[in-house]
Amino acid sequence: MFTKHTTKHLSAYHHGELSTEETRRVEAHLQVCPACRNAYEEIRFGAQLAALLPRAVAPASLTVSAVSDRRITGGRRPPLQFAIPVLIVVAVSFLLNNNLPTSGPSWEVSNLRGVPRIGGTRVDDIGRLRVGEELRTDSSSEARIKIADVGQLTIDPNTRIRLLETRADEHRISLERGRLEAVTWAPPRLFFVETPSAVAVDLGCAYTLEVEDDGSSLLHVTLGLVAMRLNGRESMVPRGAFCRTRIGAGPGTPFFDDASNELMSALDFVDFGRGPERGRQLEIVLRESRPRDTLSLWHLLPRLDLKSRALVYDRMAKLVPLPGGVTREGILGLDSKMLDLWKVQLDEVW
Amino acid sequence: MRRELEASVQAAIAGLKPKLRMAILLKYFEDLSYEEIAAALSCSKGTVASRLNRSHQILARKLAHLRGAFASGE
Repeated sequence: MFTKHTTKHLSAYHHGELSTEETRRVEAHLQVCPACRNAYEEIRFGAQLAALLPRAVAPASLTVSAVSDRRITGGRRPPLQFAIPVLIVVAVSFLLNNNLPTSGPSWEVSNLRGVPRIGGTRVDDIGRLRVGEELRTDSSSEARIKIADVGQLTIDPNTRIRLLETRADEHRISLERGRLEAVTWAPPRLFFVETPSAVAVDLGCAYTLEVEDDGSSLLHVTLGLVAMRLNGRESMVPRGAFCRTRIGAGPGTPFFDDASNELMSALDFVDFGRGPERGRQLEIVLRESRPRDTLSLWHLLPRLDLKSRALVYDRMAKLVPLPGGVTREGILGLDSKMLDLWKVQLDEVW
Repeated sequence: MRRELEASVQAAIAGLKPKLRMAILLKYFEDLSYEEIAAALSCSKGTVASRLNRSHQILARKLAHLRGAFASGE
């Protein structure tokens, strides 16, 4: 039996993270220790509050910016083998300095290697990036930027970013070319990255974003959720998923990094191709889809004509059964209430 | 009422120190296990437990005035 107090075990106990023997000991101790029982009540209340944390979801219409609660499933995914410029997914890192209110409209920039430049000025050690200024790295330089007190960016070689806005309710940059990794601990919709083909809206916590010379980009979310949007078209990209964007087209359909190569290739054509071939490629997407790939199919629903939408719906219904109150006609008609109901079930699979 | 409660929780979490905030986000936003959080943060499970313990305490004390509203809303 624990003769010592059990306060340090209480959150783990609440979450079911203790072994059977440890659980038994905590429970036995709580029966005889009023102080620990009070502490447990406090911990449990705190956990109940935290469980209310608003989670961002893909809205039913997928064209509206409002979000509602969503549960994002965790778990590790294998790395992606993909025929594009290789992305190196960097482990999450943290801002270590807590004393950070921004003093004036600028962000701290640290030299990681080589000679990053702000405008024409070298950043040999630490610099400040002010609103309107551009940070550039060449082929042999890298930099780290503190996003006020809400996160940080790692800037890869051959990258150009510009600070557009930084204030308590909004932090915004443009990524004109190159690659960055973002880690944030801000509330959702506080940090935005504008690219030539879409805007990445941070909904917490970590992702990589790469912009090519032609303005297209590739987003990979490693933690949390990011929305990519342009002109009313929005893709919600959860952990373990990618999203491509193209100039003029905006965000494509998100797909998980363990989807088949055939699905990814076909999806690219469905998103950005034209003509009868698009229908043939859609058939490949449907054939290759697993239950988890309903993330992609879900995003396709409002983006296709009725005939193609029916094919997508039929495949989705085979992969993830409909809940009560949802009908084929309703989904094909993009009924928002029915889409919301089905989405709750789909979230469990994603 | 629930929206106000959620907004209060969100504000309280935003006020946590970064290491505590990240543990909360990974647990409740990402639904990761303690082992997965420890791997993501490169720390031990004990450290994860300790950070979540502290975070829960802070939230409970900051939002103690909401106990009544919380109970009636559940």
